[in-house]
Amino acid sequence: MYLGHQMGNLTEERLQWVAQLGVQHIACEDRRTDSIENEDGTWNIDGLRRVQERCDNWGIKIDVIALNLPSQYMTRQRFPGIMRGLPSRDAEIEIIKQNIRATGEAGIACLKYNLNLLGVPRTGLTKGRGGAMYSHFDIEKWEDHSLTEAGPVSPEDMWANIEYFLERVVPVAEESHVRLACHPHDPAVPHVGGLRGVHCVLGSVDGMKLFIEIVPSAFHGLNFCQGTVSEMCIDPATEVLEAIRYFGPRGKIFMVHFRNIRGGFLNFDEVYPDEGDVDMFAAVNAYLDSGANAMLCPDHVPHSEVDPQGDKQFSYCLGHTKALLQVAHSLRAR
Amino acid sequence: MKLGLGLYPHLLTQENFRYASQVGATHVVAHLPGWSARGQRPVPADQPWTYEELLDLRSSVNAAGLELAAIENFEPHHWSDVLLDGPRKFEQIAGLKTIIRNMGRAGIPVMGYNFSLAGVYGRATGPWARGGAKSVGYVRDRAPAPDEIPNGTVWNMVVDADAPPGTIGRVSADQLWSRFKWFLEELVPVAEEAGVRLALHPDDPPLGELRGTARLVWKPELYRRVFELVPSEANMAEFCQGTVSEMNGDIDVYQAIEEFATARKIAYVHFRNVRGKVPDYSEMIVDDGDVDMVRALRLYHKHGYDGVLIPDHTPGLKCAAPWHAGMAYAIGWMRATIALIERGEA
Repeated sequence: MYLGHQMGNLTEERLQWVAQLGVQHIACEDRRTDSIENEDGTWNIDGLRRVQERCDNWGIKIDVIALNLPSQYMTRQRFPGIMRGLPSRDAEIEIIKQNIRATGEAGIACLKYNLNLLGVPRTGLTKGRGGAMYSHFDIEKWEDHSLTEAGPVSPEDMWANIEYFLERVVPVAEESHVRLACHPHDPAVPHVGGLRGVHCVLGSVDGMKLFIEIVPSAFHGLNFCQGTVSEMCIDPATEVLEAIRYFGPRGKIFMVHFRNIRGGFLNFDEVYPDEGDVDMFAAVNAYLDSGANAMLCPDHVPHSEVDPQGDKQFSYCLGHTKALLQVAHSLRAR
Repeated sequence: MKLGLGLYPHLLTQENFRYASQVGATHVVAHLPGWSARGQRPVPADQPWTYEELLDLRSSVNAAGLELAAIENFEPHHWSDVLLDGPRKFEQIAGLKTIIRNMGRAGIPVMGYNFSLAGVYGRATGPWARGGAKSVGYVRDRAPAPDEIPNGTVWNMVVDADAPPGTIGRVSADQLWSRFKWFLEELVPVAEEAGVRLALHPDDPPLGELRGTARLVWKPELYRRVFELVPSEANMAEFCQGTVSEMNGDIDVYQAIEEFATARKIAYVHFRNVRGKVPDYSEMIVDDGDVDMVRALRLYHKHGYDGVLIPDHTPGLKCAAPWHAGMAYAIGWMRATIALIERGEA
């Protein structure tokens, strides 16, 4: 396991900043600066090579690049057909396949993506340490119970759309030697009834277990968002470690969103790594024990009026993670 | 062990106190030289800090939920003639005593100071830290000529603009130690009575002589001489681990931590990493220098040190908040490591 960072903006300044923080591996979410993405959504190899070269100059390797399947509400998706089962999905999937092939050709090992309809619903902010604000979710405070544009989405509907997608893209990923890392549904919502009629089947550890079995392939796995997994648990302190021990040995942890929460299923705050319910050092050791070898990236960080760009928060989280990794590795080297 | 953040006068704001709490610091060290020069304190710099001023400072820190662990450094104007053995030294030592008594009354437990004539002098800046981060260091080939110190200057700051031309000349080790002994003999009893600990910073750069003047603690073992000079629980070290690791001495930085933590002589710690030793070194990002910082923290803990550590300096990072982000990274690293050590897991 090693330190990583997700970067939405790959300017030289941002690359230098993460290099200074000791980051040597990143997930690139910026397809614009190097003109990776063409207007029709396909990707060009020149752009992919250019961004790799720029990163290489800072000693940084692009482990992962983000497909244009973000954690956004369905109407803001570039490719909404995939998860809504619309007729447009076949054309969309063709574009995704092209993206996968281009990524393979550029020698980038992994793509991350979401299979998302609701975005990332939250119900406000909780005041935390030093006045920092923590993203909060409490199902009791959720007020909008209207159906979405997708109407009722049963678990069966959602699984059918997920399967349709995976059956078509995973073979291309195998051919291209590119791993596909899917983010689970953040947050977990009621298993019966869902949220706004949408059943989020990737919002439970059991759902994630089913997901990895749909298409048996070493190239099909998870962007293991430890924070989201914590949000699925009644007792995150124990269940998160169990989940790591389940998915790690199966080779399904392609990258990690390394963040912590206070609370659990249907009611939680996203806190600093050192004050949540999950023992982050125990988590690092669980990854190492499970044979996983992937980036630990900070993900969401607390919001702070004294840090509008989040540089201080991310620097803090990266320093914290770096120390946990350094100690864990040094103890194992003894 | 406790995590602190060192703040210069312009950073002593509620906004920065909130930032300190966010990154998990519980203590603040207030670095006060320049307090008057910046207009935050509407009296001349040579005026001793009053009880009210110090209490206000402590209260503003406490109001943010933090503790004020120490004040770092007198104004050079407070004690220039104590350092230079000048005619105003009796008047100035009385002022220092007033400051220490006021600190005691205001509940500020530690006074960090650097008994140095040349001060922090001759260091260069360059992109020497990881990722080209801007770092400071002492680089033999880039050091300025060690000219003698002009009259009216001490600690790299002009304290008397009307001083006659010429220099303060050479100051031998014997002269310096004798001035220091007088300072301690005068101030330590006052500190003991006031419940304030005096904490001596080592000399950075740790050269035996600089600008014709001797240096006090430029090898780790010289701290022994400091503590023997006036034995007292109020006579302690502001243990700048960074400076100590720059030194060429009989004992290394790890042995120094062991010895002075065991002897209960560390008032607080400047926790920073360095590459190289004098006369060629530069300051590094906490996990990236010559010193095994996990081992260092283990040693403090093992030998009973339970005080405050601050990151001291850290190379500036390329972002909108270079200083704050650098400190945030160092503090994040320290917080994780200290917690593991105290839990017995590292």
